[in-house]
Amino acid sequence: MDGAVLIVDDEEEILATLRRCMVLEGLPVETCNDPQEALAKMRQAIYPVMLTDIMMPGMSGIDLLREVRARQPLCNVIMMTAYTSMDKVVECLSAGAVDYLVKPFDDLDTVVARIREAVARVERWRQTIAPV
Amino acid sequence: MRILLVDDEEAILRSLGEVLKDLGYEVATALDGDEALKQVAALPVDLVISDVKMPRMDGIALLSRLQAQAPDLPVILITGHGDEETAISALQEGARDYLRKPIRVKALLAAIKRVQDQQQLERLLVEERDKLVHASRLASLGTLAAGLAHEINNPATFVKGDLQLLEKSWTIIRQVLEDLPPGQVKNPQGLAFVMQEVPGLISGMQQGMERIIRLVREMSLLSRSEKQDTQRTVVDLGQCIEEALQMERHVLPPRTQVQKVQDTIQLQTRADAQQITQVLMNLLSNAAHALERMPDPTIVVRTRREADWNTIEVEDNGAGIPEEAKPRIFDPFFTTKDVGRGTGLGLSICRGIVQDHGGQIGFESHEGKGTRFWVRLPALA
Repeated sequence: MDGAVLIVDDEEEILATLRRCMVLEGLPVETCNDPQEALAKMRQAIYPVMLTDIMMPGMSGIDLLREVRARQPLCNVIMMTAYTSMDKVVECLSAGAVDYLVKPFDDLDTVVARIREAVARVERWRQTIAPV
Repeated sequence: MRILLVDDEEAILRSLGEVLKDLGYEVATALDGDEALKQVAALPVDLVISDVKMPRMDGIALLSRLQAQAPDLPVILITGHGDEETAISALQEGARDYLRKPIRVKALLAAIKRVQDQQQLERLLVEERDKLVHASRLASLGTLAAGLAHEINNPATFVKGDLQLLEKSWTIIRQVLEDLPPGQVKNPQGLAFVMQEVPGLISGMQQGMERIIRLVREMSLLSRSEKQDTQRTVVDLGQCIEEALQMERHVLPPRTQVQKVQDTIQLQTRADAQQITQVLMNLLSNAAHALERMPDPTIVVRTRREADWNTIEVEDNGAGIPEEAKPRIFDPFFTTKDVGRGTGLGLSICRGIVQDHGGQIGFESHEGKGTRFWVRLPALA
């Protein structure tokens, strides 16, 4: 789905929580369990924002980030990290992530706000690069 | 040291016994193997010196029975003149040593001393082994804590998130329920109860989750990570103290006096500023707890440079630490606070952090007078 938020996490329940949150807020959302699936989706549609966990079995969040930066540079990638993997956050920011959120989320409202910020940012970029 | 002498000749028991008593040893005697075994069962005996040639049960048989009954009890056998074979088989059977008749006092004393030295070594070994076991238990506790923290984090995330969604959903539902015409409600009392209770249920669950999350966070700090090194910078300890005081101000009992006694030299150390501040916050929080309901609550924070060390002290005039709690104060999960008030992890984490920085932490406390915690950190050269 074009224009949706794409959320990637190997934990099904967390995807469910975030999905419900997006629905309550009226934001179009898609979710998937693993990075390969995410990359497959990105071949089919444009996603302005991707939320991804850092630690996942198989391809890690950082590797996914790098792939996305190469294929859809305008996609805003926000990393999700547990308190214990904070040290990876710096690496992600250097690799092009625009933001990070620490699990457990302090407040879902903040999560929503950051996502809306990212959506707005992408809109601004699109206006700048290819004004209609 | 109590020595049990076993010999079928009373004269020998008496003369050897006298010699040993004069030298300060406690002596017990037995005329035969059976009596010897009874003595060993009845009294604490540290060493058995027994004749080999005895009627009914000889020294070797006694040795055998003793090894079954008290395997750690050392036995010295006294062999007869020309009884080399017996002596060797005695050692093979497990006797600690042998002496030949006639017994020279020097030889006897030397043999006893050898046994004592060996027992001392064994005690030291056991002590060191216990220390190692304890250390490895702490290390695996750390690993367990880290693994557990990681595992709990995900369900904690979605439960906390879902509770927020529930809260928002309830707002929508409540509106619908409030808009219902009263006639349509079949169970108005039930509805009134639900409308009243649900917000409290949700906020109660949210608070419970916060406590779980705080515990998990503390547990993951309990396991030390070498990666912490990368966050170390030159830190001004005065600043850490200021920050800690700021953050803990709201938990200090009303009218608490806080005095600062600071070295004029700026105290610097290479450290993770956040961790050091966390240690200080923990000490202040403990002081605040000790000062609850005290008439004249005072906290003194001192800093000074002592040779190669920077020392920070947090002292309170509170209740003091009870004697029986003192040895366990740094144990993980040990707390003197009421259930739900403290996780008991604070001081164990503080010690972990301080030790990681190459420092020391300790305390002095007197019940009814107060407590002083000190932290020493290596000073910047």
